[in-house]
Amino acid sequence: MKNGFRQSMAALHTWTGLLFGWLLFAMFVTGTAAYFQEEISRWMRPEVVATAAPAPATQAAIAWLQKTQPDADSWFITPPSARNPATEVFWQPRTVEGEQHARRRRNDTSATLDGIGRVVTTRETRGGFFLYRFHFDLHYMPVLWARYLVGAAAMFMLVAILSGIITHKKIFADFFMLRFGKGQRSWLDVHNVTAVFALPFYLMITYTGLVTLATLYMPWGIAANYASPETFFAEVFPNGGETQRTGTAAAMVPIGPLMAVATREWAGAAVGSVQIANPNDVSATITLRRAADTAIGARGESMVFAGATGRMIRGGAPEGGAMATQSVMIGLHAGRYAGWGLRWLYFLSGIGGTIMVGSGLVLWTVKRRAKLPDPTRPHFGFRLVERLNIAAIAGLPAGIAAYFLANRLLPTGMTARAEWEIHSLFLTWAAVLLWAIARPYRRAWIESLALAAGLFASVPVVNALTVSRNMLTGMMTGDWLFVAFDIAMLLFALGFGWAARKASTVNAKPARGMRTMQNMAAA
Amino acid sequence: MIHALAIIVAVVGFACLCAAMVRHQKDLLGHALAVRSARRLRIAGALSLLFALAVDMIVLGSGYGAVAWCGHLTAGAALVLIGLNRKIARDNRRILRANVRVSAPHRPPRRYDTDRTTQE
Repeated sequence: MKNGFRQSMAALHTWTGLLFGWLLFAMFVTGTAAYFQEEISRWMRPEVVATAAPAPATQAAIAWLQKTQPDADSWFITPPSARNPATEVFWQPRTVEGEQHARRRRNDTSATLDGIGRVVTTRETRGGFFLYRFHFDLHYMPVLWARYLVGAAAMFMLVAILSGIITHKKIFADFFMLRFGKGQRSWLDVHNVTAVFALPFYLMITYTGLVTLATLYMPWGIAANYASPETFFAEVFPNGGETQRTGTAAAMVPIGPLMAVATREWAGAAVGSVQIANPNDVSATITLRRAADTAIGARGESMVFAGATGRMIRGGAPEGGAMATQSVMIGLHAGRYAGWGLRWLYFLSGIGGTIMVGSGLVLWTVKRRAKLPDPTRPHFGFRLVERLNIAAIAGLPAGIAAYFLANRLLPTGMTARAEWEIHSLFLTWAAVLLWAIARPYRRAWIESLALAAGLFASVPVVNALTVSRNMLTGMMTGDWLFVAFDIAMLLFALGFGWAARKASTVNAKPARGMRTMQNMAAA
Repeated sequence: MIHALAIIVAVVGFACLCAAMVRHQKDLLGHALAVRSARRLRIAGALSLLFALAVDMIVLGSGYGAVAWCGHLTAGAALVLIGLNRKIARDNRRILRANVRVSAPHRPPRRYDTDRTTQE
């Protein structure tokens, strides 16, 4: 009976893992990259160098908005922080009754400012933010569909983790077991070791990932208690209330003292964002929100002030238990609170998860190859999995490298430049898929891995040729972001190059026993 | 800094736990351990990991420290595994060289299958 249960769990693990494996791989890759989304964005906008104290920068940003957008419905300002030296502003233009809601371009309602309120002209890019959004919104499809798809994948991931724990009967006995060059056994070792070493991370990240979109996946609790979901959200996330403009103009108090009050109230935590509704009106409100990097909970406390008088309207009311729990879970998932050390641990755990999913996908083929009726002519399903594995494991990283390259190579004045950066990612990914289909299986692995290695290796070179900030100048001027980014690119290049070489050296020798080139690729 | 310290403590802990396991003793230490010493190592390993948790929670705060501890455990276990495999690979190469010296005067081929050598 016990054996039967374990076997059925193993089957569940195999098939849930395979069905969403490729999507999960992509989610792991982009999610892991998203832990450094601010840094990637900074690298992708090398023009931004300004650093400034938050309060004067915010005041300067307000002055700029005052000059350019005095009639907007609201202003939203992100003061400079340790991870983003620029001041980001966006605004909601006044909605006029009866006017067609025109589709606006991102740049029409947002700007990047330096510390003294001058616009920093940067190349048009979505930066690391795109990788973050792809993690749960995917691309080229309606966001809602994507989120359902991603939610299903996360649910399958949870099933695969739990059934995997049951299937893996020797978690402690095989804890340090990693044997190379033994075919299927080696792949299983890699899968087990990467799975067990960061198991708390995977359980946390999968469960909290589902929690981030819980109201989308489980809307019935809200439906049973509220006439419309909007009522629920308005109640849960009060944004100071949508007050009507009175039409009576009023000058606003300086922002600096308000930020100081908030910081004192939050025991020294910085202000993460400033939202000003109905600017320059007697009804103006200023909402300050605590920076995300000061506590695990993702939703910082907020304080609302009257814009004209500076009187506090609403302090940081403590959240209820359920809301605080949700906030901490989302915080744990997104890791915005994490300092450098913990951020790198998050990143390494993410890479572990990527290897876990990738090795699991390859294991599916390694395990079945030996049992094929005719190994030279595998059936369609087997070939499909083989080729999709290549496209996912080598193709997406190659695509991300191409995304970085496109950022440096596309002309800065080009129309729809940010979109074309993203197209470059998917074009490269699609090219690897076609290559994987067209080429003999082993050559396809070697060539795709080598392509990924080559693309990553060319990122520091192209960067040095196109912009003035690179590893060498970074070392001399203390611009560590550019040093770290180049080193990271070279490490990824080495990793993929090593995998390609492993694949090719085994390929050169006749396969012996269970050994295939595959098992060496991950070894 | 605290991260480096906690990871070192975790490495010590996992190294003790690994050395306490019969299947790894010969690879890691070169000889088998008495049952009692193995048990002492196991206790020492577990205590080290708990010590790392205590350090993390005291220095980083209970919530942040507990999260960081999970990361430190992952990093520590990974480092011990890498160390173990490097040691096995090095020992295999040494055995291989010794075998080659006895059996054949010419240099071994550059890429030699390590696990075949150990079986022979």
